[in-house]
Amino acid sequence: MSPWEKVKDAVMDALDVETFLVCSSEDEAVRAMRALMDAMGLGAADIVFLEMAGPGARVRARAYVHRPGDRYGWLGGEADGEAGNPGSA
Amino acid sequence: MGKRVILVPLDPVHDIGLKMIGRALSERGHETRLLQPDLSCEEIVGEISRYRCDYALVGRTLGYGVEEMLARLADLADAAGLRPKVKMVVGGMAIKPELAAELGYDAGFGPNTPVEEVVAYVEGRPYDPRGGVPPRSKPSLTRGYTYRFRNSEVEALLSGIVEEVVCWASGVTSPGVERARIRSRMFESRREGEGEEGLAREYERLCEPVVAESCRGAGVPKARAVTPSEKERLERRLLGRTKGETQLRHGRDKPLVFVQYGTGCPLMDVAHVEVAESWGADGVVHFDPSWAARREGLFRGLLAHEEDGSLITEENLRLVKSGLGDPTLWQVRAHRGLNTAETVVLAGECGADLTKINIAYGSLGGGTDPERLAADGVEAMRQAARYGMPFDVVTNEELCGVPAHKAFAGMLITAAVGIRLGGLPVLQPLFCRSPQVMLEGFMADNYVDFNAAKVLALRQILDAPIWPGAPIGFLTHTPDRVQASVTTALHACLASSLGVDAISISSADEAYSGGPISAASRVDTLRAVREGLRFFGRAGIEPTDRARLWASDIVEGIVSVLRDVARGGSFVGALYEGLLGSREEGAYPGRVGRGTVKKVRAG
Amino acid sequence: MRRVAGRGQAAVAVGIAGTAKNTGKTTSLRALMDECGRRGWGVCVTGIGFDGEDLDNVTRLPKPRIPCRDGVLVATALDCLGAGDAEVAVEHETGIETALGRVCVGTVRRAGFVVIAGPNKSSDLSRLLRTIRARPEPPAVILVDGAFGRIAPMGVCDGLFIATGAARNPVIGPLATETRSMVKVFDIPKVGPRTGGGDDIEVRGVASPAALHRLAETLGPGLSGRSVIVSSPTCLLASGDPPAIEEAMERISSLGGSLRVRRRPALLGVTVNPFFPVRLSEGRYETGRVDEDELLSAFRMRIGRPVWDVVAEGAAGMADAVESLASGMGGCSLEGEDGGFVE
Repeated sequence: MSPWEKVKDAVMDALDVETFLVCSSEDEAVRAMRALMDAMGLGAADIVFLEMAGPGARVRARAYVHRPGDRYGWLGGEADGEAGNPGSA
Repeated sequence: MGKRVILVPLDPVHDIGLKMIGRALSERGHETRLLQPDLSCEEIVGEISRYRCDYALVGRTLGYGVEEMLARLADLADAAGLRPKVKMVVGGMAIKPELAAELGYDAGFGPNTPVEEVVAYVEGRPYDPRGGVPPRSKPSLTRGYTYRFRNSEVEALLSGIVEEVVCWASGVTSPGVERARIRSRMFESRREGEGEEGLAREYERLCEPVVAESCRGAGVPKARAVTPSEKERLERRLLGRTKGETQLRHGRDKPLVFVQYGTGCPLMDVAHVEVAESWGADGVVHFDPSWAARREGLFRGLLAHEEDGSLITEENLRLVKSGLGDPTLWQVRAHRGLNTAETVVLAGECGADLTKINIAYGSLGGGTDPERLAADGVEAMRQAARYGMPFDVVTNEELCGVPAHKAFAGMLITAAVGIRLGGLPVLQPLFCRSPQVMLEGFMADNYVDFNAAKVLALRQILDAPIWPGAPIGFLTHTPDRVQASVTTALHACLASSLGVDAISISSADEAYSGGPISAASRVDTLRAVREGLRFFGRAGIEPTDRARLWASDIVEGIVSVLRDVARGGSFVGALYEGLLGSREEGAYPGRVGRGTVKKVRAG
Repeated sequence: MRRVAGRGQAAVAVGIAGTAKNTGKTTSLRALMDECGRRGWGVCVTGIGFDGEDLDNVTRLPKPRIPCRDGVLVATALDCLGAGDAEVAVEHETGIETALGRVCVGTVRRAGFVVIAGPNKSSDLSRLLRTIRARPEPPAVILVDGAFGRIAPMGVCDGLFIATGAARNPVIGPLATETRSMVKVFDIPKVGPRTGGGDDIEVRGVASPAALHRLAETLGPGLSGRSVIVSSPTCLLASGDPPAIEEAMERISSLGGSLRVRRRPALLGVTVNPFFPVRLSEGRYETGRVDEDELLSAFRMRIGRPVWDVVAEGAAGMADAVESLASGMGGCSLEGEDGGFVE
């Protein structure tokens, strides 16, 4: 189990990554941020906020570790197999 | 007995904490001595020994190798044979009890430790973070209000309108009204240990098929049942933890701060509620999905789904309630759909403190047929009065484009009906940048005046609690969490300055539509509000003269609308005709539940 | 050595004192606990700091945790009992207060990790040792985990291991020299029957090198034939730099005087750790290491006490040293002599 796998269960819901990217356009910032999130293994990330000015962009991206209705890792214990996935109940 | 305390700063820059502690100790009659900051460990031990003190309080400094130095100081004091008599305490950056234990100290205090806590330690008594104030009890929003009208013309107009509404409502019923009454009887049967089955069948006949099936255990489309194991693990992991006593206000008792939850999943709701309470929220508001409000009947079961708003079921509500701290106020909204009346019953039975009802908004902006919501709303207010549960009357039709004075007229009619039925309404003007505000340029200069005008106007009319919402700063938020937190905090400070009773605040995710609201974003705004209220304390924000002028305009507007409603002779008719918000203004009488209101057969 | 100390026989208290953080105190403690377990000795474990957490309180580097078998006696603060995963049946609370609550004594009922925060000053440690020894069936060994480079509380133990290594100083030469100086401090003879007379000089409390130099300065040849009495080697070492202490000792002896201690724990040996944390920036560290063979051979050549790398060699040698200390203490009761700390 990677350190990430071990710790991500504790994330209540969303994981935000924010930074300042040096870039010359919003498109570039979006691409860079998506690539960054991908590289961090946070695949389906969304850009929550992006503001471009001067040397680059203030940007915040988000990946959800637990969405409402998921099986939450932070509940601890073994996952039970009692109920189906969302939509099947 | 006074203690002798030596204060040991390790550098001259970071000794303010020690000085504050020194002053507090002196004021309490202890003898203190502040050492100069540049002594060696040996010299410090020499001073401790000479001074014959009971306590040595060492202020940790920043820098590399400081832990080793602190450890050596403790060791030297030990080797010098001082430790049995002198308690050594370390305080400052990154100090935790674990580190104090490791460094050889008797106690350790972190950088945000209240001075009083250190004083209590020196005096050998337990620290009471509330300073002797009894534990927070559940506050009341309505206590002290007389519900007397201050504007006699409005009072006279409303009195006529209210009689008409109550009289009309006594002659009609609807599936929603019936279900509320059956629910109520079901709870009574349960209390008396009698079976509910017969009533349950009767209830199901008044529900849509999909709801009736859920009541018989068939599950709900797009939702899943929370498993007993999940519930059990939630109780083990989260419930019963201490939430602390974070206080958002500073020097004032008002406003109480409410946070809306409704993640779609009751487990996540409990988690978010615990976060909100831990960061100082006074109350939480159950936000339900709009699609469920358009169905006849309430679903059954512990249900989660992946959409905004958490389903109102008895099981969901009871789970959330089980996680609430004793002083936390809990509101379950009933205001806008086909289940308004029975939601009030359920909320009352599940221990909610507050509910939300508004006939005008629910039928003009909430999609429910005006006649139907008038019938159900009156029943809802009767039930709320029965449970002694105050309800706020929200004015969200402003967001559709209805001018404030019209929305307020609708709110006042609903509130007056509530008062007439023995209820405790709370007025809920919006603090928002509404379409009207944008069109008229009311906020071209500032966000203060028009919001202040609303509160001033309502105060000129009625002595009732005011709870701006919902959330404050509506339509001023952006997805930038700093901006969203700042605007929330500033609106909260305005509310505090105006002395209103409560506010509802959003999360910093208010303007983000790409996914569910995150727990972190709730912390952001609560933290910002705390900082804002700390900044202002009991100082205020001064609106310009325009606030007063606009307040008069609003009152005049309200009077004019109420005259029109009174003249028409029918509140329900007024809703259809657009007197309380027209189609041109963006208010559309709802269609859900149209034609379901029936006359009660005489006798 | 037996599971329990014999009638009238005191449980032998052995400390593991580090010279700095990350010198391998806990690793040595673990190895010795294992070995005690293998030999069937009853063990009580306590500590003068806070140990057993996953990450170091200062460097945030992973730390070895303290595993305990069934039946091991632990003395730790109340707040730590729930922190490990071992199940500990608390038998009694001592009146000893720490920053983490009152020290409790209990027996491990289900093996697992424990977090240890015991008495962190001499007077309290002394009191705990008395409490443990007063049990109807005292354990054979009481192991006392150290903290940082703190040594003063260890003065009340019967025996001592010093854990040192690259974390104290990554340059092997000076590290070995310093350790040899420490050994010399522990070799200072105890006050004999003839010393303690009118001519002798008693130094109370801390005896720093500076204080000893001042003494030499003042008395000069007047020191000749006289003993300078210090309460324990730990009172000398608490003031820091062992080579400076050695130098002061030499000065006194060059004037014809001699240092004596009232009591001293037996220095049973030295454990060495080649690893050291490298500070990258505020709050960020990584691990470095020095050449292990070079470290061991330098130490073995110069220390004059057994030297072990417990990771490579285990703790059989340490346990042998504990056993011979215990047998040296013989059947005689040590009660009333457990360090003799005067409160």
